[in-house]
Amino acid sequence: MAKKLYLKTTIKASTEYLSLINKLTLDFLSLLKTENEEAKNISLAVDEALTNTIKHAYKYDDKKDVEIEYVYENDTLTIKIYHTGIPLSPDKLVFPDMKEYLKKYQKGGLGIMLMIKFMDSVEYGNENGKHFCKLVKKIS
Amino acid sequence: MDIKLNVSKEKGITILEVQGDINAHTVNEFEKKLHQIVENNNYKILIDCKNLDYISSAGLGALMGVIETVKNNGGDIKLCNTSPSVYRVFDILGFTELFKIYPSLEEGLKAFEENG
Repeated sequence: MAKKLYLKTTIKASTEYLSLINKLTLDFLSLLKTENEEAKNISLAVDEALTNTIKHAYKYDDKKDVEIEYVYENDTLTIKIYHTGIPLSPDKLVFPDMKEYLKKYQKGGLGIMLMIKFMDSVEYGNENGKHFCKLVKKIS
Repeated sequence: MDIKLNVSKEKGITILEVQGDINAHTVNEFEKKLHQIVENNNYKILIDCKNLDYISSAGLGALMGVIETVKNNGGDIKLCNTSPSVYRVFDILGFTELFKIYPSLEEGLKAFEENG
């Protein structure tokens, strides 16, 4: 029978929890026997999505909740980060010309770039009155 | 995991040893230390990542915040002893073009001596 896994947790919108969620993501991926370096890439993508939520959607308001949902089925891992703050703009998903970026010593939007590089897809949307960032990665 | 930072100097090169994780929670300490180094007119900076377990984009942003000043003053920021996962974060975004990474502290120091 094909493997299915599900986990959902809620944290307050504080960067204090980043390290904890990083470990949780790695532990979840260990259940799938994901190769160590790939697991680290995915946990970094989750860290970046979470950081963006805390920073931009909630403006560091640690009274707010962030939900993180992990679903594994059909060889695909889907991680959704839910919030009820300011929706994050999809136009920020455009990948810049890195040569120009580095030449101008820019520093914004790096988190989204890492998410795009390490995941198969990154998507923003809303459902049931909540906004989400959805990260998808095929894991066989 | 917290972050621990240790600054030393060798042959005019400032070595910043980073231990732990650099993420959006710990980055303020890292950023503050980088600014202190630069404010004290130290522009040749070698970051020893031997004990750096993790870096997110927050760490890259902190480096980008000082690199212009460092370069404008004839200096450079180089890194050494990165783990494969830390190296990958720099490499995948092309940051290894701006921040040269060396396999050991000795090679990092040598690169400064030879190329500035």
